[in-house]
Amino acid sequence: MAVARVKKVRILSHHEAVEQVVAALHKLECCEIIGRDEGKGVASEFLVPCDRSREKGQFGLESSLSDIRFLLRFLEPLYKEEGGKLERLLGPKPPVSFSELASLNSETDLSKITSQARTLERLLAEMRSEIAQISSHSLLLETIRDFSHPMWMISRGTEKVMGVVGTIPVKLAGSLRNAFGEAVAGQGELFFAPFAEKQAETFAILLFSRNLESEVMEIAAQQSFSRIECPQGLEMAPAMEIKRLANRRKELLAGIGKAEKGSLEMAEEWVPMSRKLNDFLTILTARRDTEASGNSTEKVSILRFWVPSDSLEMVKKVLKPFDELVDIHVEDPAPGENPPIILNNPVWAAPFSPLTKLYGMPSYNGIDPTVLMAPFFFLFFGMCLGDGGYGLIMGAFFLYALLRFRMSGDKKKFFLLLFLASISTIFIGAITGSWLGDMVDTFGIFSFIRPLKDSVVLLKPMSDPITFLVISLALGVVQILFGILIAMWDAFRKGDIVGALGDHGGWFSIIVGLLVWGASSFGIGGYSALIVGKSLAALGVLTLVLTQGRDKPGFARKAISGVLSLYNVTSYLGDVLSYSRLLALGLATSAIAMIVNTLTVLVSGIPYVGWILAGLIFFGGHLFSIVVNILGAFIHSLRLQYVEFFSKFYSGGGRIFSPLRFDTKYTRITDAGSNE
Amino acid sequence: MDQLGIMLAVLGAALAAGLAGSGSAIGVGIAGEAGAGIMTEDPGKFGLVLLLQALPGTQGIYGLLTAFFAILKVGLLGGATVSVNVWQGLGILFACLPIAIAGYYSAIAQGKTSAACIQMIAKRPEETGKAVILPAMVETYAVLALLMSIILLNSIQL
Repeated sequence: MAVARVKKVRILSHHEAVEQVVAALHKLECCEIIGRDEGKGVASEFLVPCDRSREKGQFGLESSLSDIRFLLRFLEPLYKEEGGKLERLLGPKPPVSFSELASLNSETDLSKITSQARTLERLLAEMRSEIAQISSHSLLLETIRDFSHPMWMISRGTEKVMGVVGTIPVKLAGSLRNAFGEAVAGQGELFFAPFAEKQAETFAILLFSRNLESEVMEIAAQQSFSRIECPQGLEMAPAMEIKRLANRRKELLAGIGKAEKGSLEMAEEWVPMSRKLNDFLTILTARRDTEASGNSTEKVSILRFWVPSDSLEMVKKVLKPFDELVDIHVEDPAPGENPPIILNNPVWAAPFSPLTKLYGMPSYNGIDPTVLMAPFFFLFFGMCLGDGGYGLIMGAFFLYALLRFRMSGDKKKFFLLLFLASISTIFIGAITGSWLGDMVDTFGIFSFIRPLKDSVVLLKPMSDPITFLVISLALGVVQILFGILIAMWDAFRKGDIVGALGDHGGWFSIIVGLLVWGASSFGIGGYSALIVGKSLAALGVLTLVLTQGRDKPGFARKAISGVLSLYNVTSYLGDVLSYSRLLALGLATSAIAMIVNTLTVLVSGIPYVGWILAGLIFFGGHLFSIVVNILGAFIHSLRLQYVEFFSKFYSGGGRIFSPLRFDTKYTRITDAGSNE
Repeated sequence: MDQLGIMLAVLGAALAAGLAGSGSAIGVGIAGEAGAGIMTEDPGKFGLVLLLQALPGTQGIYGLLTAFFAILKVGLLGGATVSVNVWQGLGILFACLPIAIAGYYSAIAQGKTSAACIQMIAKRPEETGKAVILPAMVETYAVLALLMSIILLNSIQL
């Protein structure tokens, strides 16, 4: 129930050994780095700035890593993955040993491959941009296709003659022709691109004697002629240029095809290698960072880690070979420090630990709620989904996924959790007689299992919702009282006896007292129950009134706070009523399933297509219902833990333990300490 | 007059499915707008966004559920026809109101919460668990209303 103990370990290592020390600790995957602690432990005048990492090729490492990232960015989209998408998402990463990676790293000429890839990428980019340019040139050339002079007349002109190209509104074309004719007096030529009826603008080309430039440009501007830059590199007449560009385009496309094929081949050849190297270099970077994380004097590096108490011996063992050069110092976390949290749960409760993580880790001296919550979550999920058929389908799906994809870590825990939840769903479904809703009763073909189904039914929430509601609320009371007891125990453990009896004991007494009182009014337990109930409730009220104002100064304020605290009874009432969702969601599942069945029967009566429609509604409807109801059951049973249960005793605020580990993206390092 | 009884029950069913469904449509719409905004930056969040967008959709299902219950009760979905007098019809109509009203408003509120949570996972995708819980807090009241509607429908004697 408590979180795992951790120790603070300080390792003084001679510079010579620090690399091997960090490598050895890295393999254990159980040491979390504590950042630099300014001037503590070592007088600051002995500290030297930690720049050794630079000398050791940090720069080379960084540039290799950026090379690899480039390769992956460029080649990965082209790489044909093996296996299905789901398998890659859920399945284990391919195993590889660290020494394999190291030799791969030394064998591979990364810079050569990278420069090859960079050249390919640049070539592709250049060719693609040239094609884009050709397309835009072709557009212009197509419109002035009939212009018979070579294009250089416009772009460069001769000593005497120059040309301009531009656009002009169609309706002003006539007046431009007249004005231009007058201005150049036979010393020029005017070309209009052909235009369609509705076109607003067209291209015009003006060729004229260079000494008339200013006059011609002025009259052209008066006719709303707007000049455009003639593209460079176009020499021949438009018709011939079009032909030349088309040929060039063909060449480029062939070139792109070849380069793309080349990069596909590169992807095929180098992506697996790049992925492995990416992982390798990430590991090395983590080591370098660790080496540089602590303070360092002229001869010694000071590394500091959080290590779980259980793993301490292992750490000492792997550092044994460096005995001469290394000094290890172990201490407990000081008060006020914030050690990382490791959840330490028995096997049966471990699948529930992702739920605790989801809420937030407990504090170091707090309670790990996983074990306490697990049975409730298990039961509540079953009640919310509450259908044997859905439970079977869900269980089969998650069992298949667990067996098919050998998952690890939290992913595996989560799938196990849902598999466990399906078991409780099947159980609740069986005792409430719900198998895909009322399928067994609705369809005649299932009549042979009807007696079997009915034999285990204890309760029918559809016809008797009140009993189920009472059970739901009772479970709520049980969980809330349990929560209060945990809080009380926690307060005792921390030596806060007044808090334990006053804050938690008071409420426990009131709630139990009111329940017994209530029970006696239904004739349970008789007169003595009434007396016991009343006195327990009164004792609780008295305790609260006396203790809840204990922090306040003065008698009057103590009394007022004490009395006001009784108002909290409404929050307990709300908490209990909140458990009615167990009934509501359970009913919703059965009812949706029942509606699907009813509709199936209804449409099956339609002639000819009835069977097809019935099949569609039956399978589609139930699939939809499963998905929606699993989501609802999960969220709402989780909420009951978080809001109603955790609020009684749990305070988060812890920080998850994140040791120096082989944090690889693509592969699994086989010689790592754990394979989580 | 027994036709009027049945029609009152139909009105109840129509309100339950119609109002709760409208609320869900608005809620899912609000969440979807936020989701589309996030996905312009990172289309990879589609799965998470879809999950959060779907949350305000449950009220529509609850409304539909109640509507089916109501018309099933008066025998409009096959089975033996039941005679329903005006008072019983009114009772069914009233029984449908909790999920109609609470469904409509809670779905919209839940849609806004979902939208906010979608914004949250845009910046902190690792906090998806918390982002799913916050909209579920709003849904509580739709669940309670559904519960009341079902219990009321169940307790009307025909």
